[in-house]
Amino acid sequence: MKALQLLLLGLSLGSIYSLIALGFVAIYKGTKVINMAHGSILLTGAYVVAMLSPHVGFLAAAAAGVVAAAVGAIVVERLVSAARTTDHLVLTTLTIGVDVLLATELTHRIGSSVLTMGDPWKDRQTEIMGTVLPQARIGATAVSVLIIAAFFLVFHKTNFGVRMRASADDPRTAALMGIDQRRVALASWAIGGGLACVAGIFLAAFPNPGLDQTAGLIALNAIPAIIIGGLDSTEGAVLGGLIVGVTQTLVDGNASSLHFLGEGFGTVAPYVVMLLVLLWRPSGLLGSKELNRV
Amino acid sequence: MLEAQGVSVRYGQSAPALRSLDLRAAPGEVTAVVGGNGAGKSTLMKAISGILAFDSARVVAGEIRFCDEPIQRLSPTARVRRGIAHVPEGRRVFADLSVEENLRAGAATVKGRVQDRLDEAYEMFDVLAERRRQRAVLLSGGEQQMLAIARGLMSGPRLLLLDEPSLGLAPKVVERIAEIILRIRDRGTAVLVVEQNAAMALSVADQGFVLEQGRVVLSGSGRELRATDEVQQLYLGGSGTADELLQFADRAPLARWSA
Repeated sequence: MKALQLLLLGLSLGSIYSLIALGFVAIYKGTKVINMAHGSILLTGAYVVAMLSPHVGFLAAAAAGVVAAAVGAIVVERLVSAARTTDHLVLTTLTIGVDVLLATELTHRIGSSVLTMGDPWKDRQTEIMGTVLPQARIGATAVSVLIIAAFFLVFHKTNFGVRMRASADDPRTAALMGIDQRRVALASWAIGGGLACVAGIFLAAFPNPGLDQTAGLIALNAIPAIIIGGLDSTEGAVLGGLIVGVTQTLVDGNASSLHFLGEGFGTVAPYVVMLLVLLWRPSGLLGSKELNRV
Repeated sequence: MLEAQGVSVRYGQSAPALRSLDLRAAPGEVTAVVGGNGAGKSTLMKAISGILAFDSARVVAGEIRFCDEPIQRLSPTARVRRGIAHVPEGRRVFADLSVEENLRAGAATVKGRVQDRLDEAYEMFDVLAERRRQRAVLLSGGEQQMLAIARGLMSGPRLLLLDEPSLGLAPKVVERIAEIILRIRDRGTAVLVVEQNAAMALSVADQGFVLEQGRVVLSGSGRELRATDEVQQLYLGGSGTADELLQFADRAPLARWSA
């Protein structure tokens, strides 16, 4: 029973990581920039939700947070692309600078307080198949599944999706087709930011205590997720997120018997999995082989 | 329709890839630009479709006009909207997209439904109709070239730019591409084709230009150019067979042309 409970908890945590990783990959595919400011953008969105929730209600606050994170991501994109270079490594490094700025400001604002999201699930738990799960995590899983399904539907069934995928595949040729690459960049970052905010809301919800200044760091768990899944694979991002969530939860849940590995191995475990995957498949589980040659 | 006057292009700070180039293309005509490697053929195409910036290159002198409008300051998207389609060198199909998605991507600037255009493309390229659900990466080289041309036509261009459409393809496929070029021309579209394979390009050309080191060194009607001794020797290898073509391809340009 304990194993099942840990697995379900892991999958629900993993679905949150999947949202972060999917946003990360959307930005990478749209602009070839690895957005190291993703954690701060997540924090921005969740912060807006926490601030507005007591006044306008949770749903309206969540919507505002998603918009704020999307706009924040677009601002980062504009800042980064204002740099007079097309070297993606330089642009990626620039996002680290933006991350430091944003994180410093938000840490200053949040201080030592722990902000609540005001979500409808609160700290209630539900019994499923003999296991006890927090309702917020069940909500997280349901919302993630819906969002991820919508993401793939849009990217595979609409003209917008075709334009985005064509641009990810070959931006120069996409430009030749009249697909405006600036709009593609804006759309990718806005989607990435919005997804990060949704993930941020659920990361701050029960069983976690709430939003504090470390939430942006938790977003870093998406990094092993995207490396495990393959940096340029949206499906890989979802899979990687789930693997990280399950790994972390299983290790944490068996911490007493894994004590010989040291304290807090749950946080480290995803990176161990990442290393093992990299040794076995350098481009990730579902990443395209071409990345090896770069 | 398309007029380039005194166009020079530079990549960063290096020597110009095009030097004061004059060229025109007219509706219902095939205009061929032939020349060896590094003659500036692809640069010319990129200057017309507006994607030089991707290679940190820019037009440093001269003017490009399309339908009497200067287009140099327009974005690639705006140029596609005005009727310029560019089928790039190496086909560059979107590998992960299906055949049909590739075609839809080609119609990115088209407002409203594109089903009529899809039907038209499948009618012209029946091999694509059979494979519309397949990923483009699974097509053969010839099929990919067909797809690249069909994708270029999806925006309904008045000027079609074809960069090395015969590159790496079997003679039979090259023949088929020549037929397609003529069919597109006969619809009233202007076709500008650049080729190292001068035999193919000049066989379909109404007008031709020979490019050497970024300069036009020879121009005339397709017929005139085919008959010219210099073109015969350098690009058609006398009798114009493929083997001889290869033999001459690496030879340095004649000095008297680049004066």
